Amino acid sequence: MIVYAARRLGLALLVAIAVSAASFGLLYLTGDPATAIVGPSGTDADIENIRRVYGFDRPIVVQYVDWLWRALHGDLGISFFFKLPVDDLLANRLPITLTLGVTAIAFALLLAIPLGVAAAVRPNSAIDRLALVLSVTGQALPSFWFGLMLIVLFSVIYPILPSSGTESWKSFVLPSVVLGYYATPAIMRLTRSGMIEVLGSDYIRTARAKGLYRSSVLFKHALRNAIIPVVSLSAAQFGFMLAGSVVVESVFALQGAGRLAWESITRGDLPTVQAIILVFSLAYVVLTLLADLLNAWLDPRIRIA
Amino acid sequence: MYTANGKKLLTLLCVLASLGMANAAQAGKDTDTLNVGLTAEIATLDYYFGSGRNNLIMSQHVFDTLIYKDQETGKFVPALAESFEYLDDKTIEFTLRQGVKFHDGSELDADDVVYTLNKVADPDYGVVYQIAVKWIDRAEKVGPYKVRLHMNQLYPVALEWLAGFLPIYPKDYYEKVGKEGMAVKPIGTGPYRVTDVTPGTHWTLTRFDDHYEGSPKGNAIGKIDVRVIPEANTQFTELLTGKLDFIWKFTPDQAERLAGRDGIEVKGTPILRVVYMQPNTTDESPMQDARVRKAINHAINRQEIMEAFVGSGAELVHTPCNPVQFGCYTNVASYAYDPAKAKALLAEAGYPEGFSMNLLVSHSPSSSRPVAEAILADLAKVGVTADIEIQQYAAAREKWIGGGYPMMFMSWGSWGIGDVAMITSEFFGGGDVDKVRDPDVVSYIKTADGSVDRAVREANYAKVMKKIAEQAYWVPLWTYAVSYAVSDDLDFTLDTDEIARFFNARWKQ
Repeated sequence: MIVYAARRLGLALLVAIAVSAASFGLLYLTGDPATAIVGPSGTDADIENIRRVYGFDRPIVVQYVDWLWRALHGDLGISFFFKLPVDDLLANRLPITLTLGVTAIAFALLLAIPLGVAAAVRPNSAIDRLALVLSVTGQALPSFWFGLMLIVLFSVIYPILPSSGTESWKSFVLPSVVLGYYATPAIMRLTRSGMIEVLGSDYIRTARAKGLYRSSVLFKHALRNAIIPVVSLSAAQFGFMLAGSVVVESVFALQGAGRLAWESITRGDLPTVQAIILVFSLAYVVLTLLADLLNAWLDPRIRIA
Repeated sequence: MYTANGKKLLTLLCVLASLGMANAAQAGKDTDTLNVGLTAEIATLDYYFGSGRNNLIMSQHVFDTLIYKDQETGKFVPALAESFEYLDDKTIEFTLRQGVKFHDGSELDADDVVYTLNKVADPDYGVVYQIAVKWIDRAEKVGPYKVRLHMNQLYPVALEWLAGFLPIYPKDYYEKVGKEGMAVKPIGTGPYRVTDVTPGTHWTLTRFDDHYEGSPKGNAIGKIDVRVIPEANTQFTELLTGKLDFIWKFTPDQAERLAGRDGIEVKGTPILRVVYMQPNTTDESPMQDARVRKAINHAINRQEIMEAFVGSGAELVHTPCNPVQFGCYTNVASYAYDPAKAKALLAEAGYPEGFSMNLLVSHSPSSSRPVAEAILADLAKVGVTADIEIQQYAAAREKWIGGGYPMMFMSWGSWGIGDVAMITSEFFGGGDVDKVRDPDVVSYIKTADGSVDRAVREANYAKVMKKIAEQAYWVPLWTYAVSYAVSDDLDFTLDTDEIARFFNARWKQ
């Protein structure tokens, strides 16, 4: 199992490097980094000068290999835009994105799994309908609109929560709800369908026939099996939340890595974009790996296979 | 869709706010903290390596320049230099003020000035805006408080650059900490020192009590807290709930909805920025025919579009510059809104049914898609249709230089400098972005840019403006006005050079 995990990890690293190479090329297609650095008031001489000083006049392959070599030695470079080490920027921004991601996925799981189980226990009941309504609205609400509505309600009319910033835990409540709610429908539907399938299986009937408590049957026997695909999905959703929280970060002025990535692309800040892509792709790959390991722990059959 | 939703939402938000909220807009004054909300991030506090308006604003608070331009009188007044004189056309001697302290307690002398100017003038040092420094040959120390600045050319706008765009750094500190140190812990002589920084998102400026006496800048307010809030609607919420005291650069319709809310004041200031369309006459296209260019000038109902999209204080222009800039001669040919005449001119040029083209749009709050669409609606009435291609400035500039676009729609702020050398010379002086390359115009500009005689400059720029207008080498639209909102407690006015000088703000008594 350890060898298997190590091989997976090695492959994962290669995937991350491949992603970074592809993105390096794509960034060049979006525009000339020298023009982006100089900004709206630069003259041609300014641009030419920047191109020379930053080494953009070298072949793109040389620039990439140069970057990768340094990155492998722990040097992610200096941000063109901030003139600061990219490591420092990430140390500043990643915790915000991570906090938001963790609280959002926690909110999504706490809402989705109980709802999914309840809906599965009584299909087509009122609670199932309610769950359906919740999931449809979750999927349909544009997150910036939902976020602003929450701000109106909880920051303006009843000013109990801040509408922006990262000063305290309170600042993360609204953004976590918005980001987490978006992930809720998928998790809920998967839990529900998984549970319905499992609840109809023979071993559940046997467990019931043995006279086990209803809760024990539901959570120990049924949910543990039904949740396996949910774990994989949640890992993917969590990865999505880390990388895809740009809108939520903008609305609530949380200056996380998602927004940093987005802004850095429009500014042609190559070292920052590269570093974030590397970190995110690594995180995504590691999350998938963790989900597999967790599934193996939940389901012994996976371990043996 | 986003904007439309945003507008409805703002209305709702304002209604709800006025219904349910107690006015809390006292927070800033109570704590003597001016809370500023910005949309765009500030890159680095090492001014010479930043770009954009906010970078410039921050630097004016933290650093000082040798001289200062009084925004009301337009005169250059003493700052770090108590006096200066031109020794000849290309040499200025500055006598520095004594006893000026940097934020770290060290004192300013000629070494700091010479070091800063020589460092930033070196092309290898890679300062972002070379145009601001390329005219400097070298700075020379001629006494502990005397500096001589040698220019490598006759350069009439040298004082403009010196007055706002060449802050003086402390030599010892900068040598020690370099760009990275200056980016987050800048030390200057300015009225405010930086006490807390989260790069790109949050800055706290605290009054520098030892700011030199006789400074043209004030520091009446104890603290300035600057935060980046990208979403306009969140900014409005924070302003309405008293968590912000200043926001700016929203659209006229947003300004209308904000106006009249309790606790805030919405204002507008005309700025140097001008909005225009620029034809390309060097590549094959109908734009090579002057009649077509004139037709386009006649076809646009500029008054109507300006009123719809630009805040109060904006004006129509007929020249490739802002009339308040030096050298912007305005007694030139102009093209009134006259679609029938436009059609006739197009027919005369061989396009009775009109034509279609690609329009490049360099996106900004002043040159946005809705404005471009409105202009195109007018052009369509005379048969000229266009596909819009919207790009961020960097990409648009690259495409424009690459060629193949008959026309570009954009705006230009001239660095807030009141001299046409910052705009007309840039676009008609024969450089890469000049897609007209009229030899007469290029030669007049060369003469004007290279002279310190104001009469010579004025006469030549007048010839430039006349020829450009006659040939319709440019489609001048309007000057731009910035909308901004401040809390009721704050006495603050935005200057016309688009630089928010919070050091001049104070609380109302």
